[in-house]
Amino acid sequence: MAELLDLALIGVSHRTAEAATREKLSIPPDNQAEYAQRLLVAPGVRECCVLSTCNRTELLVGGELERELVERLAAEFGARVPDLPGGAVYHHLGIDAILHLFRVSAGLDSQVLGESQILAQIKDAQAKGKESGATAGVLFGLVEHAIAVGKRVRAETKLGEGTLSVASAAIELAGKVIGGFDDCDALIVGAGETGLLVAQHLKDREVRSLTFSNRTMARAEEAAAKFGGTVLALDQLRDRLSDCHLVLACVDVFEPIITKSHLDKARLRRHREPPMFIDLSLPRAIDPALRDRDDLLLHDLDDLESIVARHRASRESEVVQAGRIVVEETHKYLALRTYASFKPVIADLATRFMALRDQVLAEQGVSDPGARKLADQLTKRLLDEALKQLKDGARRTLSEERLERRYRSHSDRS
Amino acid sequence: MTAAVQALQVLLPVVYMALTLLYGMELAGPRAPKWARWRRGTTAFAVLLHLGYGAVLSTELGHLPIAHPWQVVSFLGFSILGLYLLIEPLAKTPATGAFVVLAVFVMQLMASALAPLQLVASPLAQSRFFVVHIVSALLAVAALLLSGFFSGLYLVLLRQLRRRTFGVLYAKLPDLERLSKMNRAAAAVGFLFLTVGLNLGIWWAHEGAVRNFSYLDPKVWPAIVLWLVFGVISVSGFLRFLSGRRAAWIAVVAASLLLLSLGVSLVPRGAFHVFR
Repeated sequence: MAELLDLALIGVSHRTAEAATREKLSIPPDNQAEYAQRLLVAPGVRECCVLSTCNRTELLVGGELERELVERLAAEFGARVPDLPGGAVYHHLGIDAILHLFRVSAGLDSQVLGESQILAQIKDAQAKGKESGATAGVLFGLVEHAIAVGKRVRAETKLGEGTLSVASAAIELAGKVIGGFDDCDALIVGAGETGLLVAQHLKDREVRSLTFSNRTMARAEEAAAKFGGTVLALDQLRDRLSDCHLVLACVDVFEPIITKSHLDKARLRRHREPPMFIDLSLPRAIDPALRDRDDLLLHDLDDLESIVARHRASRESEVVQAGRIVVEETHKYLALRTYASFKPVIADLATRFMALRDQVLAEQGVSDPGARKLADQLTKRLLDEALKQLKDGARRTLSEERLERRYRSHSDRS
Repeated sequence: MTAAVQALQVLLPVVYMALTLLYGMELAGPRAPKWARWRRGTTAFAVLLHLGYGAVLSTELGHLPIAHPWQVVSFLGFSILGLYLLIEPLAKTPATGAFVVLAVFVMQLMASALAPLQLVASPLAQSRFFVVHIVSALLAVAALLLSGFFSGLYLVLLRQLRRRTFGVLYAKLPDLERLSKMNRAAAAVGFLFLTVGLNLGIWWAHEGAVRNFSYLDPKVWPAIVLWLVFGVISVSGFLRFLSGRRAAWIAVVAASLLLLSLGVSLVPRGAFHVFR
């Protein structure tokens, strides 16, 4: 397989460097256009695209590239961190660069396997590159194809299915009882980081009402102001607890603060579906003995962890299938590119065929419209057949098996 | 029996089997093969085919095919599918359909395999009252069985939530609130049809259409009880004392009794009522 030297990818990611290093090597959105322009000055570099997220900063470079130039660009990229650990900055050339980009868009190279945020980030990078004029032609098409690969992987596999965050898992679990949150009155006990995170998830799902209860009332009030909720003192929990459809406890305590004595049996039984109590605290804030009650559902961190673990296992089982899609799409992309390189030849061929047809018809003195139409059809059919052979040829020049071997070796290295 | 009826009797179970497979694929999620997308088309084809089967049989018999027990089973299967398709949008997922279509497939298979070779017209089925009475009653039975089925799923999901077994059903089934709504919707449809069927039947009997009419008939008194039970379930959304779980239990028990009473009174004797 001939090595393409018209494409290279230079970067640093969560796989090769710690957060502090990645932070120093990241390129803020405002500086990306300027960085791209600086790259375009290098000899042979015609296009570039900058992708910078919290987990990776990658430069996709296109043009007439030499290995030495790419190595120099990689060294310059890493030079911003004086004591950079060896191997932190990587570079891939040609097909390896394409395989890497497609793996990234598929979410196979993400810290949270299969996460979909990366697709939006790639789209954003493509748009910024187009705006600055740095990403055009070949590179624009490649990034477009990478986005399509990401979408296909998520549509055809379970790689993006199921949340891997405990806070989202809690909301997903509550959703299995409550369904639409627009009829749900939720109470969040604790206004710390987790409390605010679940509040955000609930707000996103348009929960009907949110109440915050916290030891420090000021923090509860702050959270209530942020999410449009109300506040409740911890010692008044008894008044509201049994009326809420969803109770989430995420608070630091030494012993349970929600016990049987806080619940009103009669009010609990008024709910159509059993109210859901979810304890995200450790040590637990809701008495585990409440699990035995049939008028409510209680779940804790262990339950949520088991949901997350199932999702993770399900995603991991999809890696092979997603990899197959990446290889298939790389093969398709390369065949399309090879075929595209034939375009001038094809245009020339079409012109020659038409000229020859006209010449033969003129020599024979054919003026009958029927015969001319027949000659026209014959020429088109011959041209179509020639193009089909070219397309097949382009596809045959690349072996998918060899590409797969290359992908496997690339994945092992990543 | 004409060749067309025989052909349709063979074709219908085959199509329902294919539809069961296609609905089953919904449980496989994104890994489902591409042909799983033919579900909607196959459903429409199955509905049209069954309607065609009904039309051909009606032409042959000179009345709707609802007089013979196996015609009733086929009609019931078709009604279950039709009502399910009406209620399915409430679920926002076709995952529950696999079980419904499987039941319809089994019913049609039995109806096709056990149908007598000779088609015999029933003089009773020529009566318009009889037709409306039976059709309403069968549509009610189909709706009530669906109500029981959705309630069963509700209880399975609730049990999984309580036992913390987050398996395939947990992932694929609609939420408890939605299953509750589906239960109430099916119960309401059943209640309405049963109101028509029951009242018409009783009025017709009092008009002297039957001899020895009795409210103690094994079809009449259970129908009245079911009518009351499903009437309550259909409005349970407004009743504070009847939670989703209680409504589900009642529907499951009532639907099981309905199925039992249908089996006992329909299959061995081949007639609905004790009276003639």
